[in-house]
Amino acid sequence: MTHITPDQLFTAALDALERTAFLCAEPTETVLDAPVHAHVRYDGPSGGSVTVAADDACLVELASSLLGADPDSVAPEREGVDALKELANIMGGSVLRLLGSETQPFRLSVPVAACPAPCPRSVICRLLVEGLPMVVTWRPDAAAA
Amino acid sequence: MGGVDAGGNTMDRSLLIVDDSLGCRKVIRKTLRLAGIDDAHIREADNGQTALDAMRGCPASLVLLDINMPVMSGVEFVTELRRTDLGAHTHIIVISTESNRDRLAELRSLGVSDSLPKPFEPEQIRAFVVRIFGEAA
Repeated sequence: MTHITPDQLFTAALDALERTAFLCAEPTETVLDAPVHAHVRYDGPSGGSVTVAADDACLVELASSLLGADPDSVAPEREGVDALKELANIMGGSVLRLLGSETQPFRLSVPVAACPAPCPRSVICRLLVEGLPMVVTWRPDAAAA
Repeated sequence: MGGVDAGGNTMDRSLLIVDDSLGCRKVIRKTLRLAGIDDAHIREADNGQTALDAMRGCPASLVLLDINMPVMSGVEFVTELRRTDLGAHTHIIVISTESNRDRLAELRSLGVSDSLPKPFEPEQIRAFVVRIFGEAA
């Protein structure tokens, strides 16, 4: 079972944010308040999930950058959550590549706006996206840990 | 207009973007406009089923297709499209998080022209479009 580090999660998140939304991010040790979640489950040789969480201000920044729209025209509960789900989808794909999906038959589910149950094996990456809080969490299933 | 379809015929520049993410569709649409594609020739669908409906109304020359979608996935869409012969002359490019070599090979065997991993660079999409349609500007 390949282990994924917070640094690898950060690199994947930075790549996704830069390429899809032209946003910059930096890692932080600070515990962040990021109450809105999107997560994507994967199955295959091992199972688990990837969750991306943010606050409303970060959702607006993410969605307005992705859409090229005025932040005032973006609703965090609609366009913001849609953007967060797409980021979770991309992060799920990046995590699977780290786990060897090119040669192993992993399956990624459709991302959903929900928070999975806490997991003691979680690997957490906290980052500030243009100064706004975002948390990326990898939760490998117990059998795979 | 330039470009030939999968059957070697001269084709128009009609495109269909299939992705459940509104943001992703907007990014791709913007990239296509910057590549010289007229906005009136670009349509969008948010899953494989609505894409099939759009193809039944008016087949597109090029489909830019996500795989991981609700209702009907990209793989189901391609399978159905080929079964019904709706898109016999349609180029399909997969833009998705799928990275498994066997599954990508399976998609090619169904007639998918190429694939692009997410996250993508807009320039990569432009390069695909130029290769299929020719230089627009």
